Amino acid sequence: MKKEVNTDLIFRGARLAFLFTGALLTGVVVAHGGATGVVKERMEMMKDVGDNMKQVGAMIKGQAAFDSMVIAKHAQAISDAAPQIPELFPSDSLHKPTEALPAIWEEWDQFSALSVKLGDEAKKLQETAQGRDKRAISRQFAKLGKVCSSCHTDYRKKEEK
Amino acid sequence: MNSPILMLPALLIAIATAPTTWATEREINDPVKKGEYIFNMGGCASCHTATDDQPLAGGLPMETPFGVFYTPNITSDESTGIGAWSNADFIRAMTKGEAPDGSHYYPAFPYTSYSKMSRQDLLALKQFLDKQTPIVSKNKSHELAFPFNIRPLMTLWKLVNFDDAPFQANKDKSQAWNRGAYIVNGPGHCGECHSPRNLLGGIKTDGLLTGNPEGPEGESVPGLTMTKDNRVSQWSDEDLLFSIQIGMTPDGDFLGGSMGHVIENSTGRLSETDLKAIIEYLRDIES
Repeated sequence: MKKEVNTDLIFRGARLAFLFTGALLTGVVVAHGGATGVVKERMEMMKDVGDNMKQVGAMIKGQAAFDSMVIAKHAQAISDAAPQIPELFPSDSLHKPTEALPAIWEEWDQFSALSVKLGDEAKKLQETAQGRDKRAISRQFAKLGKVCSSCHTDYRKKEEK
Repeated sequence: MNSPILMLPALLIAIATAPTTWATEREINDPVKKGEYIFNMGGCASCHTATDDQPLAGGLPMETPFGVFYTPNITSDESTGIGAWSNADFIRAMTKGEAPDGSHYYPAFPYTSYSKMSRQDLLALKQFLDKQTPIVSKNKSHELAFPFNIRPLMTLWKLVNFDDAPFQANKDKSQAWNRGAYIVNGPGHCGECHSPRNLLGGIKTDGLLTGNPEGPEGESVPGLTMTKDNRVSQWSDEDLLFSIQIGMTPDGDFLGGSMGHVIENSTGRLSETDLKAIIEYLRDIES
């Protein structure tokens, strides 16, 4: 009888270990989105840009202390990232889990123009932030956000998780 | 639940990038300007403008499980647009889904929602449209599969899927809640994408605003009801306002896809009072 109980325990243990490994693997996949190569690189770059926008957004929404010098820093990070966008989208780099749409390469001029615009508007935000005028900063932030939106509208298909 | 929406810093009012933002739409006296506001509520340009150089001349393909619909010309051109329509023709189209010649429209044109609009709003909208530049552009025929290409069958479809009752205010709720309910279910026609559809393409009324995993253009459209599993239920009122006003989500991402058009042409152009009314309603949708 004792032996049988042991087998049962071993079996259960194995099953637990299996489940645990599965959970770990899933965790890894979720953390990196399974992305590799240039897709991974650009997803991380976009995430960085998003994080910068998030910090500024929180200040404008009144959820964080408003500090125009910090806003200028975030704006600069975005204007530095913007020129890298075109090279992070080599033709037909559409492997999973990318959310990029083929329209990017069909309308390359418009797409790359948007990356220039992103840099310009971010630069302007950086300059506006020097003036410390909250209204002007908010307005410029909205203009910058509009570039994000228009690119995501035409060139990204969000995958719901 | 009545969640009072916190006053955002006044500067938020200034950030709406729309060319015109009104204090409140009800304060607009000029009917054409009021009509423009209603036009933005509907985001009409999203579907009726296919190319920027031909505003409102239609021609945008809409791919659906039933075939491809092409949006029509709603400019004031008398022969190819709707310039020759009477007020009665316009109201009939918007609230009954019927063309001036009596034929039925397909519900790709969301009269299912517009039937909730007030007569006053519809007439203001017509006055605005009448003032838009006429463009000669003949409507393209839809490319639909059998039996959907038999237009008279829409009579049957309407019997099952179309409730043309006007908007009913709920006296137990605040004025803002009712305003939000009107915008969401009427001119804003949010439920058209944010609700699941049945096999015939009718909105499943018991799932209103609960999302549509198979939305337009293959997008999975999230629900607007604040159930616990819905990420937006965790967002603050400021977060929600920001997301429909400029498109930014609390994690710094910007909404795109079809919602990008909605923010660009509709919600991003509405007054903050109206956006807050929408949020108050969404926080407390009657089920």
